[in-house]
Amino acid sequence: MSTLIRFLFHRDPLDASLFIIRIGLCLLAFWFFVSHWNDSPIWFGENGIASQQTLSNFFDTADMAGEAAWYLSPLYWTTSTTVIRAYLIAGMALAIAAALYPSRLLSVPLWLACVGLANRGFLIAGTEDALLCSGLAYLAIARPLDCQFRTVTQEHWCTVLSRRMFQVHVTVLLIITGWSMLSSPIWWDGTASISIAAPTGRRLLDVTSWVSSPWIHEPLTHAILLTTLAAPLMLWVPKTRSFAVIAVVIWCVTLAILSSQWLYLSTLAVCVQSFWRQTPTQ
Amino acid sequence: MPPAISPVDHEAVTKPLNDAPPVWIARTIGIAVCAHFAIVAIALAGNVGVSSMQSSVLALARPYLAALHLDNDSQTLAFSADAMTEKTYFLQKTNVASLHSSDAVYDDWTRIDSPLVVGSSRRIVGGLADQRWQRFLSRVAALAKSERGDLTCWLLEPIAKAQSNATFLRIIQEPDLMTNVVQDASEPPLTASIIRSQEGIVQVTQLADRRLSSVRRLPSMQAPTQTPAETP
Repeated sequence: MSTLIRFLFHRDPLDASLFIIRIGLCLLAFWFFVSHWNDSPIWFGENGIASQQTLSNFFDTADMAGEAAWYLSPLYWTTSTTVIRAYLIAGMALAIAAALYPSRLLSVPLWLACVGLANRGFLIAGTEDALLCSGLAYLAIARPLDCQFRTVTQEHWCTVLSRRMFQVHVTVLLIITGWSMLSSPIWWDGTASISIAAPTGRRLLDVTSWVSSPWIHEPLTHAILLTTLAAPLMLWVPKTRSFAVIAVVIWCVTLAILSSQWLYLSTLAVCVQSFWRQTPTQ
Repeated sequence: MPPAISPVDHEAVTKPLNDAPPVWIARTIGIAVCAHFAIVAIALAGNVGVSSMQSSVLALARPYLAALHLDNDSQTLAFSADAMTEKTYFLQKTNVASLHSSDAVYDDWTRIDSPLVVGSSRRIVGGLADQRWQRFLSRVAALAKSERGDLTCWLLEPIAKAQSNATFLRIIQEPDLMTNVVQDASEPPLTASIIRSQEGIVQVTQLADRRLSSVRRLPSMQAPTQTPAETP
């Protein structure tokens, strides 16, 4: 237990401030709210595809009403386009305000607003929603004073706990992503990178021509897999930590170009900054 | 880049903070953090495969995971084995009276685009609206493939109501670089008929797939081609 407590609450003096994570997550939350501006009335409006009536019928038929009841959101109370858009505007304002001024009075409502929107889009939410909500929750734990652009010599234990939450979450996510990759033969035969790029109808960029050669997509697939497997270990070894952070960021950018999952991978790239260390002076 | 600081030895690293929480609070938080990450890890690992014990734990933890949106039950982990089989789906409609008539040809089907994936909005939102539409279609197609026509009908009903002239809806899979000829020629994951009553009630019914059978189809086993009202 003492080891766990030391791990969770005792700061490594070389740990960098959570400033980059605060700015990054707030901007990504802003993007998340903006992205719902056009389509939220079409999904959540009175005759929307995921309207309350449709979801109610769906969950009752699927016998999932009990489980679905826990996806709490104030947006279930309304079908008005004006109210939904007012919610989005409030979310955007909170995101900008939390980026400009660190305060729990802003970061906690921002987290709850994101959770509310993600829970309302139960049928259409993706992996990015869950990671963004987790990241904002961890950010809300940190003491606001420690999330500024300056060196903090005496961080509050809440900030240390927040950083550890980010670090463990990223590690767990990378480990399970690696396991999951290994269960698919395309990560072994080298075709995974072109398989990711192949459904061009749902990709922002058609990069299939870039990776069509086996000399490109096979080494790329192996590099992506090796990074996924090695990064969780290398991130925790002080000597390789900085290299691993850079490798994970490059991994995120590469996969984002291939898969168009920019929000998910940008969020992961921001969260992995919790491992970033300051440069010691001699 | 934040300003550099002086190196600190190992003793200082492990030295308790002045404002560390009381031991009992630290222990409680420690246990809570372990439980949190155990649940998150089990939920994420469910993308690879789910044991019955895992299902029980997840069912127990569902209120926590759902209320805080720590895991989305409806989606697979990015780049997992399931996610790698993702395809592009299109929703199409037609207004022909019968799909079995010789008039029902490919050209009769027109694509229903999500009204938000075209034009400048796609560039502004980084394709997120398009991704949501594709997730919805993937989910409906997956339900249709798993014989849950009763569920797909509820999800397609609002779209059927909005398409006033449509008589049938279907979801087709776009061929891509990694699909083969057999996959490209396979039946659409979902074909559904739209039934409109005079009172304005709209119902969507998934049509059963045509299947090969080892049993010889006798005339008496064939489905009636006329509705009961038309039968003399």
